[in-house]
Amino acid sequence: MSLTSLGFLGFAALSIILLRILPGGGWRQATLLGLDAAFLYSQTDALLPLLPLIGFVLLGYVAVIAAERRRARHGLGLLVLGMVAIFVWLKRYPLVSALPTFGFAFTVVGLSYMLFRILHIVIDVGQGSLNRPRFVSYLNYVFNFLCLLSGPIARLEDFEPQLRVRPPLPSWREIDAAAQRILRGYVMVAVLASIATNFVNLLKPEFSAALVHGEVAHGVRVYALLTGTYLFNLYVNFSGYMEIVIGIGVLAGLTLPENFNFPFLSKNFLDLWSRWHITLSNWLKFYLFNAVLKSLGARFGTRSNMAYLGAIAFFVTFVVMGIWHGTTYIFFVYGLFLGAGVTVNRLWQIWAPQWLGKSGYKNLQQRQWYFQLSRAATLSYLAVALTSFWITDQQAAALIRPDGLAIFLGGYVGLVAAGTMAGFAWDGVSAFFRKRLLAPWAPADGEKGGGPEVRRAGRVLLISLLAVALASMVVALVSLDLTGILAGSSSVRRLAMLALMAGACAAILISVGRLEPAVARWRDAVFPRRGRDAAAIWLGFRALLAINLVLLMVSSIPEFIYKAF
Amino acid sequence: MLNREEVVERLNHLFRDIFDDDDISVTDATTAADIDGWDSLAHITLILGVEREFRIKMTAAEVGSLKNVGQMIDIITARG
Repeated sequence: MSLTSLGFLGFAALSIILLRILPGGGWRQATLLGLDAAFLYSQTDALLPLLPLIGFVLLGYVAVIAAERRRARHGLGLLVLGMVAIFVWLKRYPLVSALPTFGFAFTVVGLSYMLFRILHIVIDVGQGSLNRPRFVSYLNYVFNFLCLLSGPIARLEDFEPQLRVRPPLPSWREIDAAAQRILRGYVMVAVLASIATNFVNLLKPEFSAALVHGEVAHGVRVYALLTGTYLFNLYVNFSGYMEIVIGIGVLAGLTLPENFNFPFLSKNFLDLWSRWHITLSNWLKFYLFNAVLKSLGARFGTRSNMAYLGAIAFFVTFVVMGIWHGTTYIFFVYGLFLGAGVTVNRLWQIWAPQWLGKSGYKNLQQRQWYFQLSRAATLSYLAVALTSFWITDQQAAALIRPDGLAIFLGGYVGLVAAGTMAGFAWDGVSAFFRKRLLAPWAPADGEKGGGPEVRRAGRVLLISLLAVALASMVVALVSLDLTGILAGSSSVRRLAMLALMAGACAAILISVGRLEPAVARWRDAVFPRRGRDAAAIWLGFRALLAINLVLLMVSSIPEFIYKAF
Repeated sequence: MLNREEVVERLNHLFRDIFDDDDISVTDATTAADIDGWDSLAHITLILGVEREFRIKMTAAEVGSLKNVGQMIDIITARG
């Protein structure tokens, strides 16, 4: 089942109730196993296509036992290689696509994540850092329904205790925060991502046409827009998914690790990977980057060449990360591209202090324009690299011709320029929000509630609500006739239209984020003692949002928007 | 079994050499944030130095999840 289906909401509610009512120990493990099995089964609605996946995980446990039995170094390497080989075979990577598999169609949903979870246990048990988990804990960790589709990759030592022991009930404040996260996640996935997806689908044929006809100037604009929107789409989809599963996890008593930490604040390409898909980056650091660099350093390392060995280790890590993401050759290109990016970043970090001096380089990093530029260059690089995720073979072939390369490079430069300007604008607007609208809230010492406080809080609430309403109206109106608007107008008007849409989406995102705290402040100001009235207002607001959300999902607004496009 | 004072002494030498800063003096609570230049690369340089200095091998999980110098000393004294 999909996360945005009503079925999943029901399933999540049932999971939370069961996991909170039933005691810890065997009951909890059995319940979790049942939930995991039901969720897994719902992916295919048949048992047969799941068998290879289940077989893989069972073999994984055999590998864990083998790793525990003989802690010899080479044995461990072979176990890891064996699991990777089976993974490569099941995923049908081109290298081994000639090998036969099974006589029936099967699913590999979540297999990439399962591989990394299993390898983590095999390696750590083999090296003696981890005790072999019980079989049922192993299954509940590898198959966990919250992490099945897109991670995160938790670490067993953090996750395992929660599988056995029922944690204490969260406080109201924590429940409230979790509910906020789930709502925000659904807004991101069900609303923002579907708008962005439709943009992407609209721009793809435009891009294709520009590529085929060699219209470079037009192609550059379309390509920059397309890659930028795609990055935004991936972000709201993936981090929205994380908000939902982490929020449900809090309610159900399963703490999941965070996977995103404001990636749009990344200072550079290396920084980005400590903010985007963090659990994957950490896994790769633990078991690939560190291992590669250690063995390179032990053999060839000297004081002066460690920095360059580091660049090699980064390069290898990113190539593997690319191949992990998908099976076709284009993901190898994606990995190479990311590897090149990180290498350039590393080399700049080595050379820039040599050219500018240590203090000169530090001064440069303090500059606002340097931050904006390198942030835009970083995010645009990721956006352009993500081309690998959606490009067709035909388009890829056209993209490496001279016209195509011009579009590619021009698109990147355009995106960096637009990103830098957008960064300045965004920071300016949010500084305005913080200083003018939010700062007055911080109550002075001794000041509690009172007239001006209420008026200020009410004002922000009103502005946020108006912003959401206005932005939604803009999006709805433009969506209704986007094809018409785009068909007959000049490219400047089209760009302006798209910018308007992007701005409206951003306004919704900000306002939704502001709306909740705004209501909370208003409530606190009006009912400083948090009596029953305050609770009623709060519940009413929550219910309103929830009803909206359910309506949104039932009425299939995403499909509606899709058709409107 | 090594005692902690001796380990700290030898670690100080190692840190000063690797981070090129004679003023470094580590304690249990020292973390990567406290020392200029302790990034993912310097971390491995440091681990290699520790492994050589104390003739031990650290596991992937240990290398990855070290939170502070205190944990490093724990591993060294337990193993060395």
